[in-house]
Amino acid sequence: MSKRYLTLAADGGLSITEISGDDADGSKLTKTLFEISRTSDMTTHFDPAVHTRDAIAAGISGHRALALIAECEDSDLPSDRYFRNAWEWSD
Amino acid sequence: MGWTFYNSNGQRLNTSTTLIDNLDIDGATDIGADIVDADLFIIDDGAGGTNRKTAASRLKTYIGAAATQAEMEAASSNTVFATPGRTQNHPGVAKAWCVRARAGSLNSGDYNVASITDTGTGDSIIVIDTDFADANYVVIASEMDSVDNIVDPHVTTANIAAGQFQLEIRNTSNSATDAAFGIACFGDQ
Repeated sequence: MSKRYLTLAADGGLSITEISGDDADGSKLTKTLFEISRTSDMTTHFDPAVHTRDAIAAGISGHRALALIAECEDSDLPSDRYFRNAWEWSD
Repeated sequence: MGWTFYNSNGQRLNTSTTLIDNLDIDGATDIGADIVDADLFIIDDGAGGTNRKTAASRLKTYIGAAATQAEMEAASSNTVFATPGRTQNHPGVAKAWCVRARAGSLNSGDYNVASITDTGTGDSIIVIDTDFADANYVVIASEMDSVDNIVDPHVTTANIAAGQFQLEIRNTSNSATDAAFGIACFGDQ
């Protein structure tokens, strides 16, 4: 089964990311974190040399601070939308 | 008394006119490498009998070279050809496509899509692998769900950036709903 990556959305809900294809070096996931963290900045292109996981987690101008909170298998997640929307993350 | 030349078949070569039939290249040494721009050919200029040398690079102009990204984007040349590595730069070609499954995941098979993020019922963020030049591009989506209890879902794009866009799927009551959608994106990359 393919992996899913969990982040907290802006409203506190969980966001579930599925990467397309292989991502051996994690670059697709890092770009995804950069893109889904956008708030007011809709023009900056992702630059892997600058927009590292640490930088995204710390907060980039025009983006909210965002970091992975967990990863799991697709089969670990409930398929029912009612339950998916009701998820809450706790450490 | 001048020299008399013969080819390897013993045929006499006329010093003023050498018929092409008299050339025998079967036993010649192979070039042993790819043809490069600086290599030379013999050519009869305008078929008028005046033989000239010509660089192999001139063949590109005559036959047509591979289109550059700028030529693909201009979409006007009829003297260069499109290659698989440049076809996506033509403005009439989709720069990305995928199918967002009803569960908010990706169906197998897509092009230039890095990921999909499920942010709730009917809401997804699609991240592009190779960005568009800017946020001025078009997203086209059509419903691909075979389930009949989803009443006329429609999709709206929001928060478009060069590297991502948000999909909002709603029913006729404008309530968020999940449905499978096929998505294609067109614009300058």
